[in-house]
Amino acid sequence: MLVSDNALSMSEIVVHRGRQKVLSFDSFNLERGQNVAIIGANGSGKSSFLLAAGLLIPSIQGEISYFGTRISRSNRRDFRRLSSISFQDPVLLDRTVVDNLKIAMDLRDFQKEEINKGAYSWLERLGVGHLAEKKPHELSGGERQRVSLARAFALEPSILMLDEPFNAIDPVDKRSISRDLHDLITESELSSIVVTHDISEAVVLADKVVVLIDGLIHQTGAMRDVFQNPKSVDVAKLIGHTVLRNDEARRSLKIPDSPINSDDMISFPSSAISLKAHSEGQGQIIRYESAVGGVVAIVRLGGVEIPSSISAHEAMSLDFSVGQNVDVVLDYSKLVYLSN
Amino acid sequence: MDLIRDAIRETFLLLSQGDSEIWSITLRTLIICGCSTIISFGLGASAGFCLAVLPFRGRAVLVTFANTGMGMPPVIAGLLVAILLWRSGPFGGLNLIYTPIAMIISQCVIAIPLVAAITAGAFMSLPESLFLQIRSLGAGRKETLFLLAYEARLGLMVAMMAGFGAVISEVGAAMMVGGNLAGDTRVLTTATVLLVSKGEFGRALAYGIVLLAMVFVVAVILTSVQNLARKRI
Repeated sequence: MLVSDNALSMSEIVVHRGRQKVLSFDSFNLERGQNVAIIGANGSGKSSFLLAAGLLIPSIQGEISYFGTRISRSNRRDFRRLSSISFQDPVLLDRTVVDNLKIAMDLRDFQKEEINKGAYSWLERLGVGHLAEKKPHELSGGERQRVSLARAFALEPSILMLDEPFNAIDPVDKRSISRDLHDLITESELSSIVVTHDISEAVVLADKVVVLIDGLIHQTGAMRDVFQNPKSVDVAKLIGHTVLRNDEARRSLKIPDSPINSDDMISFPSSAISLKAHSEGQGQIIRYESAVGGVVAIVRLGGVEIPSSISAHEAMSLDFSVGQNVDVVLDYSKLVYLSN
Repeated sequence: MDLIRDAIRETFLLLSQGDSEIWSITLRTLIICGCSTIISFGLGASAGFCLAVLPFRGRAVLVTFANTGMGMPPVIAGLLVAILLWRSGPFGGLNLIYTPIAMIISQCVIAIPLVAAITAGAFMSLPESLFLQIRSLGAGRKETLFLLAYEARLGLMVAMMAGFGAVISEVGAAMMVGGNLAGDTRVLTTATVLLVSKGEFGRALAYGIVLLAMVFVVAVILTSVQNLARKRI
């Protein structure tokens, strides 16, 4: 039955939730063993994408195929069983933790011995074996997420789907869960889709990225390509780039002649800017902001506000306090020219 | 004061001596109300589940009807059933008027909307993601129903108790379609009304105490359920 190189293919997809069109794109392919991140802002249609891919909400047109077999009304439930979904807010039944896994495995027709062995084994692998007899309301957010992931893996899916897997988890749990998740995905050779608004999660869990904006796929490609070469202003902003008008950037950052019109845009990641403390520097740190991947110092330079990546530790040092003058150094190799 | 003192004395005498008429009426009340509760829970909970989960045109209108039905006056339910079962009515040939079955039907008409509305509320209060998660695990319709029903079990218990409370306490419909026939359709509520009209307050009070005891048991169960729910939060 599993004949295609593509684990999942979606074409000419249009999804409505209520009366609103939330998703519309021409094509998406997930190759066997590939790990794809769907990134987008809140309300961009990411979760609807996952639900459509998981055959839980219908597309009013187009076609979805799992491993080369077209999904229809009659075979939808069978193919749903090839995937596992872990939702943004872990959804656990009001049973014991281990029963959550056992019931799920029973629904997928696992043998009784496999269920008894597998349920405990996966809980152990995700570090929550000691919580087997607890009820969901007795667990912390991180523990619930681990149980939800253990259930997803216990079903031995061909396609793993994760919706904002680290949402509402404290940083310590987030780090350990992301490490475990990365290891499990890498070991198991399954295909995966992770939906997230956090670029750092995409970097950890995927090698291909799909940028979703207002229900439309704006850019698809290898993680590095998309991050280094966003194709539009919207994509650049979404992945955390600073976008300036060409004339603005040339004036403030002293960029030499650029190959674009003055009305066009220049985009660069905040890592392209480095700061050197200098009492007579041209720039001045005016505030700090929390941003994708950590903290950025906002520097006013030539009337323009420029963000620069900086560690929280550096931000606390006297050299980079608010009001401090700094020299601003731009890595020109990281500039991306975007036509308006 | 003598009236009240005599009534209370007679009440204790009747209850302590195990008056056979009281217990036979109590048993009949339990059987009729038990049947009504079971039937109305079966039909009402099914309707409530459909209203909450199945997407179909006119669902909102039906939910509104169910909510309206929660406040249906028992005499209206009795009137409707009486018209339908009356000798010359559309189902008169079944000869059900003034029988326990007619009482069960009228009590179901009262309780079904109540059970349906509470059940629908219980299922609607479950997060949509729970439904999607269960479907994603590969559950079919029957399995989805059972898993969701377990998650909504507290609401379902409340619906059942509310249905029981509604049928055991109503008198208008029971009187209208049951006729309050001794040994046949006389239940605690209708018997109490009759006794009061005859001035037999002692016996009426005894019936009232038994009825109150039943309602008390229901209240104890409801409170326990609510406490259980509160603990979970």
